[in-house]
Amino acid sequence: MDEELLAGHLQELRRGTVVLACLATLEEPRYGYALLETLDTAGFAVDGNTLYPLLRRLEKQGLLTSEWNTDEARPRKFYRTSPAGADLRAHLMTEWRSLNTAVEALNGDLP
Amino acid sequence: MTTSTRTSLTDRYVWTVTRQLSPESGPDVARELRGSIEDTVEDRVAGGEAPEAAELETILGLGDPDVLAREYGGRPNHLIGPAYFPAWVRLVRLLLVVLVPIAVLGNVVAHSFGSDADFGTIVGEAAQLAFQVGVHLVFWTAVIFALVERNVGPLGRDQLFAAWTPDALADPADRTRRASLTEMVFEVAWTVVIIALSVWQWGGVGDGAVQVLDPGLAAGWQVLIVGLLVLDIIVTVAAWARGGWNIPLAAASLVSAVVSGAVLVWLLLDGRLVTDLPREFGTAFGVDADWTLSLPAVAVGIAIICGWEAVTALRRMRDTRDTRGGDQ
Repeated sequence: MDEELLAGHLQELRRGTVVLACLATLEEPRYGYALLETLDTAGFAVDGNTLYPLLRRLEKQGLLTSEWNTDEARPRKFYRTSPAGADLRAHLMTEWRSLNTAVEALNGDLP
Repeated sequence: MTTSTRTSLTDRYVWTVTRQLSPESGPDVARELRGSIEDTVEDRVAGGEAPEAAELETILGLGDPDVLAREYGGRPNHLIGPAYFPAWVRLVRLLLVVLVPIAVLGNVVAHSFGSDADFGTIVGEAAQLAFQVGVHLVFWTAVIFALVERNVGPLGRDQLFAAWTPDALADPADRTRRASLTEMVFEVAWTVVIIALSVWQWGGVGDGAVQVLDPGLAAGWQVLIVGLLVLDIIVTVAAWARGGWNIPLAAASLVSAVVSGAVLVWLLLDGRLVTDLPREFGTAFGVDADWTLSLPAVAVGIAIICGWEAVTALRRMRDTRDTRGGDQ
């Protein structure tokens, strides 16, 4: 199979799941790199150049709140899911489940 | 040494990304981005990489700073995005079709009076003008759309451009049935007027009117020109009567356009078609003839008009072929 074609379609398929994963993972506050690691371990491969601007966008949309923590030597910006973000997460999760059911049903028809 | 180069590379990267951002978000992004880079490098070094290589790989992983800055700033990485691109293409196409011919014809008409430019100059200038008008149109509309793309949110879009509706769909059958009643009447009336004017001119207009066409033109040529015009009328009426163009009718109209264009241009350049216009105007209105008529410019004008007719005929032939058998 054409590697580039595959990569393009996989990226397309994964695109929305990063937002869902962020909103779920950030029920506990985390800073950028820690979130990247957590997501990576959890199986959501995402690049920093995608994730860091995404966090800012979600914050701007009111789905995340942020706070600078300067207690340690390196100041870090911690993000946390806002009530609106939790609400959206619930919606996305419902949609994901129904999609999953639909995809499973598709798969059942295959030989 | 190691520390200084390492700081410098990260510094340069962070600075390049954040200097493009607004004063409100820039410093905050810089602080966070630097922290993220340092976190990543630390982790890589802990995993056994050399500090310099770790930093380089981290920066390479983040990629083009301009792309990242646009991601941070929420600015598009394209000039005209999919939301506006179709509207832009429609507008450019419309403006090109309307404005380029107007500009070229206007230029040729301007040349007809008081210019002694030769063929090459007139055609060259017309081509150059068409090119310039085209470039300006495409450029300025693109600039405006790019600005709109960046300054109007998705909500403003609906106020700027009418939403697409199925009514806007063209019907291929309409193109074949080009010979609508209005069009037929207009073409016939127009051609009849031209025939009447020509016959009146060739008969000699006498005092009080301007003799434009040369009455000395041999009768054979007069008959040929009027004949071609009559052929146009017959073909147009026939196309309307049968409810659409077909290949023979379109071909006849094509031949008529090409032959009349060639004949008119040849007679004109041979000095047999028109009179000495400045002198005739001078006699008719009692004014001094201080202008000249540029025959090459008039010839180019005739060529453009007859060429347009020929292109229309060719298009009708193609449209007939496209939908032939579809709904005849």
